[in-house]
Amino acid sequence: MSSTGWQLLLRKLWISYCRFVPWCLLRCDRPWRMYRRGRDPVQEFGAKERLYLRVSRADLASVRPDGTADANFIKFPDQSFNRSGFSEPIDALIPDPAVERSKRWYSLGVVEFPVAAIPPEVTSRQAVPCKVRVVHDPYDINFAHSETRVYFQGQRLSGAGTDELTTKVERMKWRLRIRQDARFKTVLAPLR
Amino acid sequence: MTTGTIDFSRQTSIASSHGDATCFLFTSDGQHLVPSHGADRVVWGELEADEAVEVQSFQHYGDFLVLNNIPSTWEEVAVSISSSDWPQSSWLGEARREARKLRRLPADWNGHDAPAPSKVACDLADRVLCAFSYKDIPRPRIAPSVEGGVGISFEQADRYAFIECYNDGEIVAGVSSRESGQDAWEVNAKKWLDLHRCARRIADFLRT
Repeated sequence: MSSTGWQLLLRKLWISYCRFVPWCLLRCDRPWRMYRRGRDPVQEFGAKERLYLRVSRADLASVRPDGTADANFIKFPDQSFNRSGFSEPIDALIPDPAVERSKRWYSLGVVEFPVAAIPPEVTSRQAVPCKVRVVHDPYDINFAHSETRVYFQGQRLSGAGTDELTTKVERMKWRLRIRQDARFKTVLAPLR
Repeated sequence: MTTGTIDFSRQTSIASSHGDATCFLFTSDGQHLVPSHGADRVVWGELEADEAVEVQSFQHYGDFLVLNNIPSTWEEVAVSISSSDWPQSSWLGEARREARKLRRLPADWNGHDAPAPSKVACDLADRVLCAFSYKDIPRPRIAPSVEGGVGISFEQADRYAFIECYNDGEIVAGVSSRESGQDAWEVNAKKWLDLHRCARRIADFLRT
């Protein structure tokens, strides 16, 4: 078996340990911390809280030694993260049983960056600022799940609505601001 | 009648087309684009019209190439100079191969449902790379974009330029630095002139 094959096997064993060994009696398929267990969302993010982002090898190639990265791997809006206050980096790679393709997440990597690096505004076509918020949006099997959301005059924008109200140019500026302020740190390298 | 002069010594803006040793150049505001080697054949045309014709009316005068009989209605001129030993950026070939490879990426390549770069986006990236193939521009990074398309980035010290070629055929370019903040603009992908202007703007930004 190649070294990459061994790495993948070790990672799967480690995740299996997290998933089954401590919690097997409770029939859990992931660490206990990941379950929502009736907890309410916590919309306050700590000043030093970080966001964990699952990334591909192609993404990670753009992270420089000083932590800067290209502007091309932060989606606008609706980018999913896990917040560090309620999770560990490896949690971002644990597959979601409801999503078939998520089995591939084992081989991806994880980067972290401060939540404060998300720019709070993007300019709309009407030159009125839209608010950008990082929202804690827990799933039943992933309490730490959070995402960036855009609001225009209090209404959430998504998909076509975002395209109608914001231009690619303004969205590019937003992503360039993240690129300027965020320092990415690789916490788990993707496997080949 | 207007005569356009290409000054061989200035080397301000050169972009080769698709690897066939043909270079598209344009003149604007006294900035002329130059080959450093002799020209074998010259084709020119008004870029806005997106058509070009081969002409024979050019002469070499030392370090200058003089183009004659440019119609006075043309505001900017695209000149294509063929040369058997045309200089290209050392990174161009490899960068274009990288951009072509991105066509093989599957959808959801990043685990976040990102669309795969389309052929349209990869072809646009190829055009952008050709337009940026200066000798004095650092080698770009080429990567798939989470927005659906291809991202091309240039970096010099703390100055950063990013061009995104989208799957829908649009191009947006942006620059960023601590001193000047962020700026972004649309680039008309169908016009070489727009690509050249973008290339010149980004080259100037990186050199500042």
